[in-house]
Amino acid sequence: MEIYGISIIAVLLATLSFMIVGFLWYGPLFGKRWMALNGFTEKSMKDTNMAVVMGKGITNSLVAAIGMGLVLNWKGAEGLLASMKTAFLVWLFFSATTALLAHIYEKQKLKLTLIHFGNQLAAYLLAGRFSASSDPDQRCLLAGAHRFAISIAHQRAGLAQLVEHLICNQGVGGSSPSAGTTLHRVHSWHMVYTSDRAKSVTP
Amino acid sequence: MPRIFGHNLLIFVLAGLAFYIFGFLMYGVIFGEYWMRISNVPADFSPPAWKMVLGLIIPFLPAAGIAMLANKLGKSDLMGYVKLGALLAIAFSVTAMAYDYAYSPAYNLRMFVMDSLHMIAGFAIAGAVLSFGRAK
Repeated sequence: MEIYGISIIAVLLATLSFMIVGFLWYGPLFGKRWMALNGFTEKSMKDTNMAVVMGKGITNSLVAAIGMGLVLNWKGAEGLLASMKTAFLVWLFFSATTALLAHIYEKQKLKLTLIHFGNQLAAYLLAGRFSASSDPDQRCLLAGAHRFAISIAHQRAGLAQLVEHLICNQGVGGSSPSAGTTLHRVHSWHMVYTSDRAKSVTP
Repeated sequence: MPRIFGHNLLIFVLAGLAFYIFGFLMYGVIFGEYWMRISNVPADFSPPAWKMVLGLIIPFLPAAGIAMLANKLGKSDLMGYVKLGALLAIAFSVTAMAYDYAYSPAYNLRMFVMDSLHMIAGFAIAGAVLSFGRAK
C-alpha cells in the first residue's frame, strides 16, 4: 500500500528505526553522558510524563520518516548506496544545520551537539535504507539485525516480535501487542534505563 | 557563471543570505528581547568569532538542499519552491528540534515554536529566492 508513492510499510519501518536508534543512542550507548550534559537527575526523569514524551517521539519519527520517503522518491534513489547517500545529504543539509544553530546561538554544549549529530546521522541512514527498500528479503534481513540488537539490549521478546510482524508476517495478527503499547514500553524502558543510570551521575 | 544544482550561483548566494538576514531580523531586531527572556540566554551573550562565521555559512546548506531537490523535481514556479522549502523544514529541521523539545525540559514550548517558525519561514524564503535562479 502506498501514499504519494511511499510504501506505508517502509514508513513504519523507518519510523521504528528512528525510535530504536534513539533508544540505543540515548540509553545504553550515550545515555549516561547525555543525562550528565543536560543536568538531568533521577527525580527529573521520574517527573516526566511518559505518555506525552512518547507521543512526541513517535510523531517526530513518523514525520521525518515520511519526509525521508518523499525525498528518496524525488531523488529516484534505488539501492543501498544511493539511498544512504541521499539520507546522508538530507542529514547534512537540513538536520545537522539545525543542530549546529542550537550549538551556536543557544549555548548548547558541543558534546551534546555531537551526540545529537551521531544519533540523527545513524537514524537517517537506517531510515533511508528502510524507506528505499523494496525487496522483502532484504527487509527481513535488516529486521533480523534489529531484532538481535533489541534482544541484546533488553532481553525481552515483545518488540522483536512486533518488528517481525511488521516486516515479514503482515498477515499474521493477534499474537503481538499493538504498536502503540509496545513502542510506549520501549521508551518506558529507555526512561527507566536512563533513570537508573542517573543514580550514578547524580551527586 | 557556475551553477549550483542547476541554479544561478548569484541567486544561490542571495538565497543563503536571505535566510541568514531573516534569522538576524527575527532573533535580533523583532523578537530579540523576547528570545533572550524565554531562552535564558544572557543579553550580553555573544558567540565567538568562529561560531559567527559558521552561523553565516550554515544557511547555505539548506539552500543547497532545496536547490538540489527542486532541480530533481523540475520545479520552476515560486509557490512550488516555497512549498518545497517549508515541507523540508517541517520534515527534517522541525523534527530535529522537536526531539530536544520532547526530551529536554530546558528547551521549552515557546522556544520550540519560535525556532520552528524561523526554520519553516527561512527555508521557504530561501526557496522563494532560488525560484528566480532556475536554469531555463
